[in-house]
Amino acid sequence: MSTKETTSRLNLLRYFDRGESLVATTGVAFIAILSFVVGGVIWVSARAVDDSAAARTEQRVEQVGSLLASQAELRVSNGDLSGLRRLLIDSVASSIIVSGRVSIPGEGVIASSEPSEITLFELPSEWNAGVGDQTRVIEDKVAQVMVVEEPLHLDGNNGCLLELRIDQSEALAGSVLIRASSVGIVAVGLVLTLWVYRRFRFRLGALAAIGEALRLIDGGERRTECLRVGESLGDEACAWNTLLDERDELERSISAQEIVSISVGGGGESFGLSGACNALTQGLLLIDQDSTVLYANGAASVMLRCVRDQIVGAKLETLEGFDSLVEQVRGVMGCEHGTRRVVEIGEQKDLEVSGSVLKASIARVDEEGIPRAIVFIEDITQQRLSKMSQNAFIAQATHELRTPLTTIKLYCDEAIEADEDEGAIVEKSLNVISSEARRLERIVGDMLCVSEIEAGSLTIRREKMRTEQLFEELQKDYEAQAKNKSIELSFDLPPKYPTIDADRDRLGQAMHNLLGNAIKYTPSGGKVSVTASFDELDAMTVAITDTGIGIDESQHERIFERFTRADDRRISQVTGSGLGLALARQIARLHGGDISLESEIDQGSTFTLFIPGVQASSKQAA
Amino acid sequence: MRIETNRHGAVSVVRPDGPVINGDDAALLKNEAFSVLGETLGRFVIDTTEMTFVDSCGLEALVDITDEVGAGGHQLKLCGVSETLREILMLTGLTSKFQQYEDVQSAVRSFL
Repeated sequence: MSTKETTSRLNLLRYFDRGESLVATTGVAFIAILSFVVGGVIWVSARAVDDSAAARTEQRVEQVGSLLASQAELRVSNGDLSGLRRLLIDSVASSIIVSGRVSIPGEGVIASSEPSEITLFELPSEWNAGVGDQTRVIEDKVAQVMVVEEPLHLDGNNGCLLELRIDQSEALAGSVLIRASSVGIVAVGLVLTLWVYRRFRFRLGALAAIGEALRLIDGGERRTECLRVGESLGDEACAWNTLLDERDELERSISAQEIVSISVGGGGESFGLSGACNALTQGLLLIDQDSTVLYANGAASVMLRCVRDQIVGAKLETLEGFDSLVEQVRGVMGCEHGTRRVVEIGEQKDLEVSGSVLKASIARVDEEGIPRAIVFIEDITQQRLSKMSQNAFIAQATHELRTPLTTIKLYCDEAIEADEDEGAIVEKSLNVISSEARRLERIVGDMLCVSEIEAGSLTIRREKMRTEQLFEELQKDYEAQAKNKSIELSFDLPPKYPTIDADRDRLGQAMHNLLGNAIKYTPSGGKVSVTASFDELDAMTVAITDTGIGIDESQHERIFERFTRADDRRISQVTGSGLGLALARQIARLHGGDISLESEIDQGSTFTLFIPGVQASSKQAA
Repeated sequence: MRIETNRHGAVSVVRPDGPVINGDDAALLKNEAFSVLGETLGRFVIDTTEMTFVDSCGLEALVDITDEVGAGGHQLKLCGVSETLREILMLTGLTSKFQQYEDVQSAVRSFL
């Protein structure tokens, strides 16, 4: 429907709102026209009746007049005025003639049905009055009489005039009645129509307005203010407006329900706000003032270990293991709008084995004066563990740094205090200082590597390297340490070494970490062996085997994580940063290889470093 | 097929030791994943390093698992995805249903 058409219809609707009705108006006009038409038809019919009656009267009058005229002529010719007068009186008494008289023009009345009108009681001896030959008929509408003048011809030129007055009122009485009836019908019709119109115009107006409103709805109009009709139009108009109000209320209710459904419930939808809430990795709960859960997203149901449909509508108290959450929610409900609280839920200990730590942020949000609580739940277990590991690392790193520094400081003091002839003491001190300095260097190097791993920038610089140099340095570095712990350190190396393409420093760092761990966790009297081999593709495999404390199978992967040491009470007194194996594996993987572990508790461990992609053959190296 | 489940911090790593190529293997993987999902609140990764191939049953199991994980707002995290498995996921239009990581460490770190 065009805008212009809509506007036009709205104007029409406003017209009906004023109490007018197209049906009523048209009906009144139609009935009025019909009444006038009926009245006109009746009027014309009455006119025809009049004409017919007049014609019949005229015919009768002519007949009576001719008869009377011949009788009157005869009596006047005979001079029988008495007979003439009786004739007139009898005629008046027995016919439609009201009065009759015979007069001599210019002389007087010689006979009349009314004796008082007679002026000549005797016929004049002679008179000469022409009366013509034509009968004249004169109608007096006012008096409703017809005057017929009939000439009477006597001998010679004499003549008289018979004048008859005939009453037409009786003849016209029928037509008058008809006309009166027609006027009455029209008048009554109009009065009745007006009465009916006045009585029903508002009700018809209401129906017409409602009909017009329905046509507007059909045309696409939905605004209630455009569809309302004037309530003064009656009960129908009020009922229509009530329907519109109810429709609005229903629409508002449906909209509200949709909003509530989208924002707080429904479940399973993958669209809109509800879909967005379900896509959250954080749990979301909406809780009523009586602790009833109004909404829970998917993550919340997982975190609370409940079936989602069972949470919604249930009391928060029914959830097992969440007493602190219930308490905090109650506390927030007792505070004012906008209050927030944070609570951690879950066991803090044995997180690495089982359990979870959840952080719940609770906020009170009032909706139309009704207090509600929104609970936002995060799973912070991994973050908590990470933080714990980092704290442990800092503690370990501090300890690791402090130990060599303390040793260096002690030996420096000893060297300074030594006399000139105590060269052996000085030499020993310097050796220890040098060794501890290298240890410090490795620790700092590890920490730098960790930083690079964290930043994702740890890289290797491949170069041609002779692997025998690597093993020689390794042997040199750890022989004394092994000897001090009474550990039998052996190297099973191939007779020929190939030249490989690798990062010498990083590879050395990885092997240092593996061998250092082997000696560190092997008790006195144990054995540590390093076996290196190269296959035909020049892939290098280095197995470092110890007879140490061994590692539980459940810890095999975990010990390769950063800042992580095996969860074993036996190593609580052994210092370590928890970085060595993580770095070693990362370095191996950067070379395209890996580190694997075979170990049994109290039986020892074997860490196998595999480096593929040897670039030069052993023949060339030889 | 055997499935190992190791814990990396608060994250469990489910590691099938071979391809998932029949209904029994798929059911085993699904049961293990659902079990771990309930225990860890969704903090788990499937290490597919050894799971070099999956048939329709295996694929269906992976989709079922990611749908279940999706109810908690997460996506199933796969690590060590082989070229073959990656191609299977791409050809079946399922790549976007999973988060893929190069190795276990990267996948575990994603929970931080």
